[in-house]
Amino acid sequence: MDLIKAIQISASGMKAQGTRLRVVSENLANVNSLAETPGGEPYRRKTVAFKDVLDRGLQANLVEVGKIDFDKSDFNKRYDPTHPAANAEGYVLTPNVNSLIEMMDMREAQRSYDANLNMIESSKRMIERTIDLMRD
Amino acid sequence: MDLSKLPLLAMATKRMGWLARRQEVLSQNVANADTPDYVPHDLKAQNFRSMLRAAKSVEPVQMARTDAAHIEPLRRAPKFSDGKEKDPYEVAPAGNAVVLEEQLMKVSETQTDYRMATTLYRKHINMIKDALGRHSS
Repeated sequence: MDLIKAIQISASGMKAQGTRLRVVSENLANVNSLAETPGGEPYRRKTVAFKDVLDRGLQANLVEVGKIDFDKSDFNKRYDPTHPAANAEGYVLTPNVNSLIEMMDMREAQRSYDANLNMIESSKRMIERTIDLMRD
Repeated sequence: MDLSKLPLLAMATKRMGWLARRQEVLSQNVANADTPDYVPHDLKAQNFRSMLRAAKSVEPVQMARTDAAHIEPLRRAPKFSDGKEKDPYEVAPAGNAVVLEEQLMKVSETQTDYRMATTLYRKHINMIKDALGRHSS
C-alpha cells in the first residue's frame, strides 16, 4: 500500500537524520580531544553522506547513510608549550571541528527530522480518512 | 453490487490511489532533502477528460479462469508515472534540488484533495443508502 510505503520512506529519512545527529554530537563532544604525544593527531572531524537506495522488498527508494568519512582538512594549531603534545615550536594540533558549523549541521538535521515527522503525520491522517469510509 | 461499477466511486477510488502514490513520492523527496545530487520527483497530473472517458467506458471483457490449469488473466493495476521535476525552485551546491517548503506545500495540497475524494465517496455512499432506506440497516 502506497501510504504505508510513504511512512516507511519517511521513517528511513528520520533514521538517517538521527545518525547524522549522532555524528554531529560526536564531533562536538570531541572538540577538545587532543593527542597525548608530540606528533600525534588530535580528533579528526567525521562527516556523513546520505544516499538514495532502492529497497527491493519495499519497491521504494529509501534514504541510507553512506560511508561515515573523515574530514581531510588541516588541523588547527594553538600555541601551548606546556601541553604534552606540543611540538618543538610549542604548537599543539587541535581538532578540525568548527563548533559553529556543527551547530548549523545540527539545526539542519533537526529541521529535516521534523519535516519527515510531519510527512508521517500527514500520511497517517490520509490512512485514517480511508478507514473512516468504513465507519458510519 | 460492485461499487467500483459506479463511475463516481470508481473515479474517487482512482483519485485516492493517485493521491496516495503522490504522497509516497513526496515523502521520498522530503526524506532525501539532504541527499547530494537528488532531484525531486512528482507524479504526472491526472487529466479530467481522460479520467471521465475511462469512467464512462465499459470495462474490457476479461477471460474467465474455469480450470486450475488455466493461466490467470493479466489484470493491469493502475500505474501512475512519476518523473524528475523539470525546473526545480533552486539547486543547492551539493546538487540537491529539494526545497522543503515547496514539498510541504504539495503535501498539504495532496491532503486537501484526499479529503475531498474521501468526502465525495462518503456522500455518494450515503446517497445510495438514502435511496435504499436507512431503516433497513
